[in-house]
Amino acid sequence: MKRLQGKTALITGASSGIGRAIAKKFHAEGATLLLMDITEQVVEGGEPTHRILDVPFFQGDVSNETDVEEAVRRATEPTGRLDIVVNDAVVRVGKPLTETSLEEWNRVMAVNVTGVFLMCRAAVRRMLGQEIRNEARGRIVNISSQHGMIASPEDCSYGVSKSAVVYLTRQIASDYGKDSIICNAVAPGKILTGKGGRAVEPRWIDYSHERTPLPRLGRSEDVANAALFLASDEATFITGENLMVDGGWMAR
Amino acid sequence: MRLKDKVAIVVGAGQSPGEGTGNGRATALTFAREGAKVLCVDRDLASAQETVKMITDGNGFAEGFQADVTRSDQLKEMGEEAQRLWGRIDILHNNVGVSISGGDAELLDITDEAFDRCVAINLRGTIMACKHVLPIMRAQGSGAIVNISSMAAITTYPYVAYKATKSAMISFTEQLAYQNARYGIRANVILPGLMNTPMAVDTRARTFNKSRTEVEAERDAQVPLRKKMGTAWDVANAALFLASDEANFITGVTLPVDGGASVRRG
Repeated sequence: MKRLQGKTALITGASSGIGRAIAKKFHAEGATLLLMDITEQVVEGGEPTHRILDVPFFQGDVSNETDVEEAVRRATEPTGRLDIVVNDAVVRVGKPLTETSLEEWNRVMAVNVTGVFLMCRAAVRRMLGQEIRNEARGRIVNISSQHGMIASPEDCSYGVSKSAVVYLTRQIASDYGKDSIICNAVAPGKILTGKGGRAVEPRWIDYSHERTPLPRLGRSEDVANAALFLASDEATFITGENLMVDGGWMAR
Repeated sequence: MRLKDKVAIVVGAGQSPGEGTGNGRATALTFAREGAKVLCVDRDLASAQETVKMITDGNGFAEGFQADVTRSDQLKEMGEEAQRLWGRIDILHNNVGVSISGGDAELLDITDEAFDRCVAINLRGTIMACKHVLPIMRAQGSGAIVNISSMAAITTYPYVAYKATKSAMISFTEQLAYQNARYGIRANVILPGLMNTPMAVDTRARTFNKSRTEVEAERDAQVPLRKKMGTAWDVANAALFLASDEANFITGVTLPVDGGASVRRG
């Protein structure tokens, strides 16, 4: 039996990178999907995720309340349930404190923090009205980051936003555990998603290799495997956790 | 199958007397179900053999081996036995631990003997099992170690030795992870919370002269998630994930399996 058979999942930021890998993994494991992203274009290149998988796509902005409510409504249409939400949508400006404009700061917070808040709120409201199945009424998997736990070099707003996601995860787990709602996060270390630019500048790649104990850096699929575990029935007694997928970075 | 062709050692694959399934047995059964050949190790060989029989009855591969984790020579033989049988060791799962049954107590009541016994079983046993299996994993250039600590390491717990040894296991696992990553070896630690297992529930019922139902109710009430303890299968599933190739980029991680108890702290 597939590990997400019979489950309905909504994934944000699903067009590219880690979100795309999660969408592919969940699809392969039998989930009914709705993919959400601000664009269907794939950052690392290739056919749009929803086309490859032949699943519905909702173009929307997670920082927009109406878009989020509409995404949850559409996700639940096929089965009448919402079993899993994965919050992967993210933006980053990659600037230190003194160079970050208020506008840039606000945009990062709007997507990375308010977006997760809006989606969690809409999802939990929805989940509270559905029956418990296999010991869970619903599950949330937030994609956080090692940043926010350790310094995010020269990227102030991103680190702050990710730290908020870890806290929000614990808060939801604590408040809604009695309702059988499970909420966890996955914290990627240095993942090579295929994205170019700052992410793959030699100084950051060298720094990441030097800092990561395992001989290789991460792949989007490593994060997708962890998200699958936390979204599946195998993880019914784990909640409020932030699971590091970082090649041992944080242990050093 | 997620552990196809892998060889696993589960130390503490038998279980304490009582109802239901313990963490070690559940893990051995889960590993075998996913295709691993499992060396079921326990101080009590008969209990390990019960686990073996459950696996072989289900058409899995397993052998029993008697070892006392306080005896380093026996842990060395354990590693040699797995290699002799199946030629490699992909997974080492350290599940042995005692608290009340080892004589653990609050600080003013603990004796030198009881403290030393708990340290030898919980901490030294895990460390020496790793010591004797690591050379084999390093030679292979791969391996996954899963240590079982406890939520007690990071939340309130009354007895001294269990708290201290289970905390030390976290630090040890982190060191194991960063010192062996270059050999392709991963090491992670699971912190089970309040579990409905023979060791956790039946031992307390016997020690404090209460009924099993009474102990269950007290423990259930403390768990944030559904007000219900976890089962050995919750720990086994987490161990399976961490031991499998799906977790190839995960090392040095502390994973509570505690129904949110450590998030709330109390």
